[in-house]
Amino acid sequence: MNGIMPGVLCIGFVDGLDIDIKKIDLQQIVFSTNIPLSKFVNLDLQIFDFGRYDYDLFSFENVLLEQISSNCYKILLAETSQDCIHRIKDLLKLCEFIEDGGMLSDVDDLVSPQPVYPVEKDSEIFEDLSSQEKYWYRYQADTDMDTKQEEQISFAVCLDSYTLYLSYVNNTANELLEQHIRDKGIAEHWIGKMSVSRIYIGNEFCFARFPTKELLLRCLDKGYSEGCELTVVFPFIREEYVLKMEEVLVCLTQWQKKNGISLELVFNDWGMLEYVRNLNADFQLVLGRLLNKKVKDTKFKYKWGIEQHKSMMFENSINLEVYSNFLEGYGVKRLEFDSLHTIPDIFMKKSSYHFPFFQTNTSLFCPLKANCEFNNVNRQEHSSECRQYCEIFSSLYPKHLNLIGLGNSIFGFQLNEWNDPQTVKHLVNSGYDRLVYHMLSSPATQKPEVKPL
Amino acid sequence: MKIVAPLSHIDHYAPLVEAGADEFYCGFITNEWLRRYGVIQPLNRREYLLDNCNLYTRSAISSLAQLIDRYGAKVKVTLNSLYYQKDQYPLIEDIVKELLEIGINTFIIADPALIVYFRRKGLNIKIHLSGECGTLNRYTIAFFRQFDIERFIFPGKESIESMASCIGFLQQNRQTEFESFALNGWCLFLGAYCNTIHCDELPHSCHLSYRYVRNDTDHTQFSDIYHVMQMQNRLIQQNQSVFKKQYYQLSKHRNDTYSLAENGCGICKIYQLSKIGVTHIKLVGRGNSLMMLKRDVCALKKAIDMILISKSADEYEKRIKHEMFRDKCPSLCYYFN
Repeated sequence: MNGIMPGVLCIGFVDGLDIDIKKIDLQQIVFSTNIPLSKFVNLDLQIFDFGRYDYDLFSFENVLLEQISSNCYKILLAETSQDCIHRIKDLLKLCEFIEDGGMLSDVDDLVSPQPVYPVEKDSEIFEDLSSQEKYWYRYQADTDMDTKQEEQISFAVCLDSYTLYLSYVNNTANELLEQHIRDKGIAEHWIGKMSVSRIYIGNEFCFARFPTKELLLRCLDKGYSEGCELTVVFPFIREEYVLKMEEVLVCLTQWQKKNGISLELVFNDWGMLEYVRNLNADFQLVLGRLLNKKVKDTKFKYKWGIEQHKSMMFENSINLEVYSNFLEGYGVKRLEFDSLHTIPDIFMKKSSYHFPFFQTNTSLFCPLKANCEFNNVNRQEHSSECRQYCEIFSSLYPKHLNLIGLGNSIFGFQLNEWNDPQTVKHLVNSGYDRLVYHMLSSPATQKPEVKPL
Repeated sequence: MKIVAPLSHIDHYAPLVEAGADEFYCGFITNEWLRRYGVIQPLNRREYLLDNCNLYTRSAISSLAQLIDRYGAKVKVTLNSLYYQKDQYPLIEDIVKELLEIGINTFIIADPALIVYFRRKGLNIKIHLSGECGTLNRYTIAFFRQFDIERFIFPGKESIESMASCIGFLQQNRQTEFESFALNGWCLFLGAYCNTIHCDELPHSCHLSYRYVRNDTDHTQFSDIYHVMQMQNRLIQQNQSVFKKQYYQLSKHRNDTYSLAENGCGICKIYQLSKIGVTHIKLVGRGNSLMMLKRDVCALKKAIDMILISKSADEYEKRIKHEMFRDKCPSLCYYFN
């Protein structure tokens, strides 16, 4: 049994120093330590209590120590309290379960009141995208936001696919949004009341979905001509794409000069930040979502201990002053978030909130492409061309998890925020000054052909 | 070429050195950390309660120091969470200082903020940049060079060509170590961009069941592919029970049914990796049983020895596949590219 007793569930201390427990049962504890011990010692046992998600302490004073070998000792557990006996019994049962393997629902009495993930719900998946979207967008949360709040938060839409780039060339940003609102039937939602002031162009997660230079320039020209503020979004950069990244950045530098404006540039790659710094171009740098890390998991409510540690979920490393200053030294002016975050009071940078989809997983290569071309999601590889399968196919996940797979990534849907009329107010009060809206799966009006990378 | 192996238990050290491990990585979580944060905000990316992925006692660390003195295989400590809370950084600093006192001075780090914090504090430590940091291009290597990184660990699935280009770029200037994945731990996604939880009680996001759908039902493009996808959907539905089993399957102690490289393999590319300048290969498997790990280390050792008797990458690859896998390649390949 004890070969696989999880060390974190039972920790022992002898005379205040921790020991390595080799074996524990109702009669005895065997442990090792390389610290010399006296014949009588005080033993403390910290046993994990799933109910409190914390440790219970059981103390044994002045107990006799029996040396088994040079660093190995045994203590007989006499006069053990009923509570301690009960806890050790539970521990032994859990170890037996671990050794045998099985479903956690078999031991829910041992981990109660911690939740057990409802595996049975995983088989309920929508048949098609339309049903999934109807479920997500079914609630038309209106808002009582006032003009002052509207002024405090700007509204941007993200063009991140060839369908959207091409659609934008022939429509204004607000026309695109209106079409999306009509298609999704969300005219009564507060999103329907927003007016686009900024365009995000590019893709944060996949270089194959980044526009060609020509299309990028057409989108920029269009945005400039309709008076939109402009942000260009880059994904992570694999070595194979370094040259393309350099070319695009040179191209953007020239475009800036020609038009006399400074573009905002979202980077999701530390190497790109390094390159841009040496380029001496006048970009407004923005730390992207792939680098602004945060645990984001729609399964979170089933995580053991989450109720006790909820407060830990609202910060990340950006709240560390020395790091924040470091980013500032690199000229980073803005941060992109897609899950609610506690922003420090003294914070020089501005913050955007991406909505209603948040990224949870991204792959280096595309599992969808692998499946389309090899019938095997695991056969992921670099390729010099992409047929944009993600414009045609997506993957739906169990209904209760609110996830969608698109190309090389999985995204969660912010159902609570979507349904909450107070969302904009919360964002403004939390310090966000920009909402970035993702249409994600707008119907294609003009399907792209194969795109060389 | 050196083998970097996981160390989840102090008793594994000597047998794994004897099997051929040159270096170890391990997690160390102090009682103070566990009491304050549990495994909700882990020191490293192992949020497990029901598994032995980390060392938890100072007693074990102290014994480890003695083993390092005796056997010589270094141990580095994994601090590879993607980020921490601001009040955790000083606590991590205390842990690092404690480890420095007993001679453990190398740390695998993925969080740039932690690197900045340590360097600003002037801690005299060696940093191995975790694969979870996403070193994907030459400029990223240039960016992190300011922090005196001793070793760059390439993310799993990164192509050999790409790694060669990055290494070539850096080696013009200085000597640096490079590590890449060789066995186990293959993932559908990339650790650096995976923001979900890995724990006992939840299915990993990459194991969830899913259904392929068309974004536009009227569209006829790729209809042949969609036909296959519909069949896949039916299979997934029929195999729901299999997915349920995967939800909590303690596969780390399957001494009898475990087969080599079933969770990711790059063994046949070790020759090429050595030629492009990769200095260390990583065996993934924190929490795996000693028997499984020994088998893995022995296999890697054998594969490294075979470099010497192979005249080319092609010959090596054929030899590995033939002698170690009876010409049947494991399905999860790190280096399709």
